[in-house]
Amino acid sequence: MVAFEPDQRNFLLPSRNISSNGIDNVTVIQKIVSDYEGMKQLYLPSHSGEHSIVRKSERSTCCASITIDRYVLETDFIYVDLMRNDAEDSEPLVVEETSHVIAECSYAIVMEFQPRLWPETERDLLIFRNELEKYTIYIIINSPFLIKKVTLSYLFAITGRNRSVMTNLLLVPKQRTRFR
Amino acid sequence: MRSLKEFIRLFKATNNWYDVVFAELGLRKHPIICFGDGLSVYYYDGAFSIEHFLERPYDRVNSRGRDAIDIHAYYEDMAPNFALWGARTFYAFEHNPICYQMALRNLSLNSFRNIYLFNEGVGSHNHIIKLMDSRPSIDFALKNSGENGVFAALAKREVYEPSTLEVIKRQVRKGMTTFDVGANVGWYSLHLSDL
Repeated sequence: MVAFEPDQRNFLLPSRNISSNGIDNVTVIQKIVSDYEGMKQLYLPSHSGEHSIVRKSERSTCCASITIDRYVLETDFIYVDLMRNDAEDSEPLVVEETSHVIAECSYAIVMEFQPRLWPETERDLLIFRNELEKYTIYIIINSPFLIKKVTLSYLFAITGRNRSVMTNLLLVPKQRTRFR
Repeated sequence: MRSLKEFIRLFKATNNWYDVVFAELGLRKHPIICFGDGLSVYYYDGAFSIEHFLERPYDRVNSRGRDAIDIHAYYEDMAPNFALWGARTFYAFEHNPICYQMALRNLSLNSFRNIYLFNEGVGSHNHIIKLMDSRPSIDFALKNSGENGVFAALAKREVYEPSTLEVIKRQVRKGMTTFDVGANVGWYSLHLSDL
């Protein structure tokens, strides 16, 4: 298990929780995950759960950024089975820069889908939409069934009508190149 | 700020009501509050409801000569009340080590010999539970987050995003590699670490 948390104060929280529970199979990395390798500005709003690289606020700090592709190449991971992606409005950037991992591992993604601020990422949403074509898409819902299968066009249709919509998605690769 | 009625109630019930006011204003840290009936407790700002001691909701329960159990005792406001009203034996369980220490300090202020406090949780079967710690920013987050997010859920002792957690748990099996981007307090990382 690898957890990414860039801000110093937030980084200490999972680190302390993991050590105080005696867990030895979780590594916490103090880096931003995005489409960029190098230093990147992280905006720090008052709510520590909303630190973001795209949602601007008065306070900010510079943090090291890495792509999932690069991290996997630099480490010994043969398989990546699941990624939870809660990058506070930069989720598309994380997904777009995982082409190598997806090709090699075909892992499932659980991600927050809140397109309210995505245009600020200055990326063509079509690129992200094309990435989503590789997955079977499920909306996570609060019901005994937990997930509901939806089409890509349905997903973008509902967000087109109501851009403040926020839901969690489960993305399962349509073609798994490796199976475990 | 308290209303005049609340101040009058506080004044009547406690011997040192001014310490409560000082604590609420941030001028005193963890003062000992002494109640008229002999009960004393530490005042923990943010974790303590003085109203609990003023209203004494457990007084309505007839505990005289009976045994009582308090599961998730927190800072233990219940045991002294019950002991005061004649409960035979009182067993209290608090799993959180910080709250356990708070409860222990409160019990040590009062000379009850029939209260047994355990630093253990109570559940449906014997197992080790994981505790989440978000102390550095929990009060701050609650004040600024509109009471949402993982901090608020933990403060209310709720499961954060239960559906998403369940979906992720069903996807992950033992030995799998998972990435948690935007881990925050590590809610998902901790839950997945022992799968």
